[in-house]
Parts: sequence; C-alpha cells; structure tokens
Amino acid sequence: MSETSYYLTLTELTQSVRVTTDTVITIVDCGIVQPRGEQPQQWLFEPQMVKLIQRACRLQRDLELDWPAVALALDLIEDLHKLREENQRLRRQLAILMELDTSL
Amino acid sequence: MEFKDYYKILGVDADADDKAIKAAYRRLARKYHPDVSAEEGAEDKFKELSEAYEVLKDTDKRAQYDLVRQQGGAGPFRPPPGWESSGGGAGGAEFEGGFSDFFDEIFGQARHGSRQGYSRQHFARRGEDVELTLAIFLEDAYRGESRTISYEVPGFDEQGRLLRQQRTLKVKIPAGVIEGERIRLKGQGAPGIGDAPAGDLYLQIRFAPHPLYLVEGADLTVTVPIAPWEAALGCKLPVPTLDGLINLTVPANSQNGKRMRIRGKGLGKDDKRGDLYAVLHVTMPTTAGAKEQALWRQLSDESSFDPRDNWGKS
Repeated sequence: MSETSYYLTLTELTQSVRVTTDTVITIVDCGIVQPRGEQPQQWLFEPQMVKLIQRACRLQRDLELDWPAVALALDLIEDLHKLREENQRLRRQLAILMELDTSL
Repeated sequence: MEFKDYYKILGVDADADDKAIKAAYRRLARKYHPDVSAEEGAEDKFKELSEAYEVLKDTDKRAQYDLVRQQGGAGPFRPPPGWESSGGGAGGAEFEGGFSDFFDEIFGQARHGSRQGYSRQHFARRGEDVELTLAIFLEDAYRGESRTISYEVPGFDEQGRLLRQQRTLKVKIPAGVIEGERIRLKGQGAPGIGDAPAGDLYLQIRFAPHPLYLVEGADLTVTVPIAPWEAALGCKLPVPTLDGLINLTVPANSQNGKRMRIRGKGLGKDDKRGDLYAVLHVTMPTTAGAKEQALWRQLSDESSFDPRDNWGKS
C-alpha cells in the first residue's frame, strides 16, 4: 500500500516544478499561493498549490506577464472556473427537477 | 515532412519587424494559451504559436528559417542536400512535447533541449511528476477506500533510450476527499536520471455522477420528493445519506424548495466537514380518484389561502 504524503517543502517544490526559490518567494509575495509556515524554510505547500504554481510559471513565461498580472489572471480563471461549475450544477439540478415533474 | 509557415501562423507579413511579431504572438497567445482558453484544440494551436515565435523572435533562427522558406516554400519540406541541423545529437527529451519535427530538422533537437539548461556533462535530473485523473464513487470518497491503479511512466533504458514503463500501485484514498483534490504519492512518478530522485505521482480526484447527490465542494444536496399533505402536515422521512438512512423531520407547512441541513453528513474532514442538504420537492399526484378529488374540493372550499396575494387586485 502506498502512503500518501500531503505537504511539499520548498525544496521539494522547486525540484518538482523546476523553479528557483526566488520565483517561489515572488509567487507567495503576490498571494498566488499561501503556504503554511512563516519563513520560506518552514513553508509547506499543499499538492493543489503545485499545479497553481506551474500554471503561474507558464503564464508568466508564455504570455510575458509580470507577476501581479499573473496573480490577477489566475484569480479571474478561478472565478470563471467556479461559475462554470456552478452553472453545470444548477443545470443538473434543474434537470432533476424537470424529470421529477415529467416522470410522474 | 510538412513545411510550417511561421509567418502565417502568427498572421504577420514576411517583412514584419520584431515589434509586430511580438504583438501578434502576445495577442494570439492570450487567446489560445491552454491555461486560459476553453477553445477546442487550443493546446495544439498554442504549441504552433510558441514554435513560430521561438524562431521569428530570434534574429539568427529567423534568418536560417527564411533561407529554408525561400528554397522550399510550399509543399512537403525536404532539407536541401548537405543540410545539417545545427544542433545535432539527442538532447534531453521533453515530456511536455517539444517542437515539431520540422523545427527539429532545421534547428536540431539540442537547441530547444538546452532551453531548460541541462548540463550534459553530469546529467542528473529529477524524474517527471506524473498526473492522473482518478474517477471514484462518492461512497468511496466518503469512506476512504483503497484502489489499485495502473499507469505508465516515462523512463530510460541503459542506452539512454526513452521507453514507457507500466506501474501498478495500490492507493488508499483518504476518507473525505473532495472533487478536484490532488493526492500526492511521493516518489511514484517517473524515475530520475543519474542520481536524481524520482518524480511524484499526483492523483486528481473526480467523482462519477451520482444518481442521488449533487456535490458542491464538501457539501451534498439530495432532492426529496414529498406529497403536498406531507409538506402541509409535517412528517418524518427516511433520507439516504452516504452513511445510511436517517430520519428527517419535515416541519408542518414546509414550502416547496425548502433546504434542510443535515449537519456533518457531507464530504471533507475535521473542521472542513461538509453538510448534506435535503431540498424538498413537493410533488403532485398525477391522477386523483373520486374520493381524493372530493377531499381536494373540500380543502379548496375551506381554505382562505391565496398564493397570488401579492399580485395586487384590480
């Protein structure tokens, strides 16, 4: 049985995403992710944050954005994602209600 | 091999200056970036764009490309006789999928392999992280079941050739996981090269659609059909939870659509534990016998209830 390990340290994160410590510090400073712990050496990142940081790095590199713009883009993407999900959920709920009404 | 017209891809003229090329790339990249775009085929389109930009933004590469373009233009691309790609040798293979064969033919693989700055003298590189989507049933998420998963990881044989290895792993899904959550299995990704450690395996949790429950983060919603008299008089109903049936007390005079919270019967864990919401759906019988009809009529005569009270009276 494989054990799941939850948090990543800063070192593990930089190896996994292949980013520099400085970049991670900038990303945290911009509020893109908020790791646990006070000092960078104590930081603990959730697996979810790895993906967000990868995405941030891609956007920064590919769209030649500065970091605050990356943070803004990620917030907007997140909002859009939530709205899409909510929309889908409401549609499903509506479908259930309509089915209840017609199936009787 | 197919010839790629990088100018056409970026939608610029062949004599476009650097500024125009940059502007065209930025505009299209915003539109097709796979992290931003919901358009179909955005990823392929973006790869094409970044390849075109990689060449056209660089004076040397652009000059080299222009030469090829003048010689071959339309039709399948064949390198001119005596042509040797300027990089040569196999660089580090990129799992993200590098540039096209056409690009490799002109510029060689090592050129873009070196983008990430691998040193080939003492080649050691941490293995890639591997990401899988794991579709599970809500019931399994709630209880935390173990699942056996099979997946492929990229690796290298002794000659340094790329190959795919099959892996099988038994994984304990932590109880209370929610949709979209990522489970990390340290060191279960692709093996490292040289002395470098292996990458990690990430499992992204997806729920199979459930016939009863709608999922919203850690909260669940179940629609409970009830008869009009149950809503009027109040009742106790057995409601299915992921933990088995529980008795729900519906108060008298409940409205259609009333949401009732059953605390702690959602997903998640500890202080993030979600709730189950039971939403009442008052359902009318579609047929009524003579006696039932008489009872409805009696109710109609007796009741002073006017659901359209707030429409105003003319």
